[in-house]
Amino acid sequence: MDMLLLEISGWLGYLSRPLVLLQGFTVAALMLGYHWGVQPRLAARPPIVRLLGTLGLLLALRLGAELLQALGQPSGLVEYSVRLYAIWQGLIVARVLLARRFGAAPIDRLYGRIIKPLFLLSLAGSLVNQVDSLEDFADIPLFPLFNEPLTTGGLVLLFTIPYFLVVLSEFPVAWLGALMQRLLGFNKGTRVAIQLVCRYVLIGGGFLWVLHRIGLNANAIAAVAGGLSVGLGFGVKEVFSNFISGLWLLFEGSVGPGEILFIDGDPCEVRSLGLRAAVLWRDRDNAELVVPNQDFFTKTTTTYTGSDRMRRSQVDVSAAYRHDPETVIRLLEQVALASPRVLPQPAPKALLLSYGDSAINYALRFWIENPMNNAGIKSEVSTAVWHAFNAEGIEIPFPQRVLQQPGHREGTIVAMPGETG
Amino acid sequence: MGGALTLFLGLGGCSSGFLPDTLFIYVENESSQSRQAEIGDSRRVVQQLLEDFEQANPGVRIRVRHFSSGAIVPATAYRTSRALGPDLLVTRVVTALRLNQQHLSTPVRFRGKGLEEIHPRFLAEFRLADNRFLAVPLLAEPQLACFNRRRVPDPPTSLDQLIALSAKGMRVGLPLAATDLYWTASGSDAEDSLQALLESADDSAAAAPSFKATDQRRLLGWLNWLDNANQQQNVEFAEESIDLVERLGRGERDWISCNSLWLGRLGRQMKGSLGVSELPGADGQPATTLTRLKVWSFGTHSSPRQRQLAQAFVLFTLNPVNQRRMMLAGPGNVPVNKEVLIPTKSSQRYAAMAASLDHSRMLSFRHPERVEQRVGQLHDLLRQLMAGSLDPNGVIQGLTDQAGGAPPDQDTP
Repeated sequence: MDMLLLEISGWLGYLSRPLVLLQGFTVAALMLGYHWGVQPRLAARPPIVRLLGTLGLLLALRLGAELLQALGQPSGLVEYSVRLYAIWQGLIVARVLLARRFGAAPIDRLYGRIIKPLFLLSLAGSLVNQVDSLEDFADIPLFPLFNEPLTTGGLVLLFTIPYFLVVLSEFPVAWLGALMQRLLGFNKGTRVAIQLVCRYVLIGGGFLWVLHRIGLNANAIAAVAGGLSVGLGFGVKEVFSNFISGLWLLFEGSVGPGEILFIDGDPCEVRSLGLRAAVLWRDRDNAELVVPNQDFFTKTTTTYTGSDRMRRSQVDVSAAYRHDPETVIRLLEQVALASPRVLPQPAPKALLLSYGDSAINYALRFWIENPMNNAGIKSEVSTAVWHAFNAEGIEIPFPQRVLQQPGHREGTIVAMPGETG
Repeated sequence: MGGALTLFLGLGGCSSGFLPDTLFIYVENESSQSRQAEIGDSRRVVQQLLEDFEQANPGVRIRVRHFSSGAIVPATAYRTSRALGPDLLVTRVVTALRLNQQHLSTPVRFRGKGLEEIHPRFLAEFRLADNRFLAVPLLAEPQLACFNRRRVPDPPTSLDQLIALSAKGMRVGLPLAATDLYWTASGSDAEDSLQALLESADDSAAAAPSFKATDQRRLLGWLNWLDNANQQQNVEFAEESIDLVERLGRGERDWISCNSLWLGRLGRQMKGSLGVSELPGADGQPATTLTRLKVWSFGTHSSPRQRQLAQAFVLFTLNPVNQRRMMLAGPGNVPVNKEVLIPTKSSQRYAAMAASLDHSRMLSFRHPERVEQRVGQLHDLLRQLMAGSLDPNGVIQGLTDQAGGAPPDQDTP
């Protein structure tokens, strides 16, 4: 680490060169003049005027470089700052244009996750390259790691490559998954599983490459792997178990994204299956449930989307004893068939379930296409049943109880306390 | 504007009071393949030197950066265009001259007796008419034969013996670069012709008859020898000299043509079994080799203080004490200071290096681009000869064709 600090402090030596200072002052004077003198006046103007102001600054910097060249002096630093500022402003303009075309949220995400980190990394490398040999700078040893010196370049690789692997691997893997799905006819779950496995392989392979590249020998990597094994046995057993469960479930296809599962009495849609847990959406209250993968692996899971996406639903209803059960059953089946969101096939089926205390209990069973719509369709069918019963004069009776007291005439209905009429 | 600029540039020299005095030095490596090995050797040699200089000049820091042959000129040009170029460069002669030609280095005048101890034959090439030096020799690196003592107890003393020993099982490695193969031309009495071919500044048709009439026969003899060597089962040609060094170190070759700059690396790998001798010529006489020099060049945008320190550091590295120290620290370094005694009697290695240097010549690099171009062309033709797609006459024809089609001469410093 001392060597790195010494190296960086050594760059100050360039400031003893008048031609370096001259270029630095030229850039600083124009930039500060613009930001303090011009930019505040343009702040309230339309974007196009502000853009013209920026172009004016670029032009002024460029003229500064030309002037230095005309005087026979080096101007590379001024030209470099022109390019740098132009790229930065170009990125800002591109962000605005892209946001108009694709929406602000995805472009903000793209810039935040990829463009800005890439720009900052390139900027850092480029700045070092102005004053130093990048190769030599990357070779500066910082501190020992498993008896091998970790260099500046190794440290940068250690932080940046895994990050960009995680962020960027998403795109080629998605393309590969879509291609394989088209060629081999996978279902969505299998495609997602393959994408996930490819991504993990890519990230894992990249990480191993980084370890190898920074000089960790095979023994050190084996030692790390051994340590991880012990860690897996104790501390991170659950994490690893969830990870393996997630992979297994994806290949099995039972808990892939888009599947509808029955969790705690509610149908929930699987939104994603991650490294540790699955995220499910419950439409009843728009809640997202984060369920460890292991739970699906070790417990019984009810799914509505195993072999098909249909769900059989049921509405319970009662009718008075005086109505002919066959009439009621026929009416119920007609009502179900008339509901727009009830599937005609398999055909709705009404059943007489039991003779209750106050009424005959019926069940109307029918099939729906989307399991997540069950509550809504049940409501629609129940409402339609009420209207049909009302139209046909079929009574849905209140609970009735006949009490007989000794001394009273048989069949006399005695009003209960509190009842009137 | 001009006056203000002059005042500003003049004031720059005063800034050293609050800023560190830093010298930036670029060092040229043989190739990107050999980077780590060369940097390692270079560090061992110069570390003590840097520390001693920094100790003698408190507040001075020296930063050393390494570049491969192909990268050092573009890297210097890139940073010089920003006034961030090096204060000093250590390069081969041809690179130093290219730097100077492209105004990436500047000639310097040494006052007093600073360079009087440098051997004149090394210095003459770099002296300009106004007594300034566009480069200053630092160390010499002669060409040698490196071999495995266990496999080759008596190294060959002639080219015929080299082929005869290879026929008996000695595995020979030869470089393909024309400058590294120059010594084989001396065994075929073709070194003058080859040197004339490489140095030739005049590509006009008028030069062609002279080449055809006198040099063609000698070069043909040399090419026939190379062709014959290529037919031998145990002779192998390599594109990069480091490939030969690696193969000798791994025991896959028994005898190779190598440069002394690799002796440190080979010594660590082969320990006592490394043998060193002069390269074989004709009739038992040692071959004539090309002297390879490392030279100092001065950057163009140093502050006055940096230039003063750079000159002081160059003279520091050239004084007898430090020249001797570098010779002893780096097993392949031969001092250019004539006051330094080379221990030829006590060390066979130094004896071979000194003798090789005595039998060496320097290519004239008055036209460095032209020499580089010629070397490249000859390299391509030799590659085709080794691949069997051209015979020696075809190489001569190719050289003749290229001599007629080369670009016109350019101004040189």
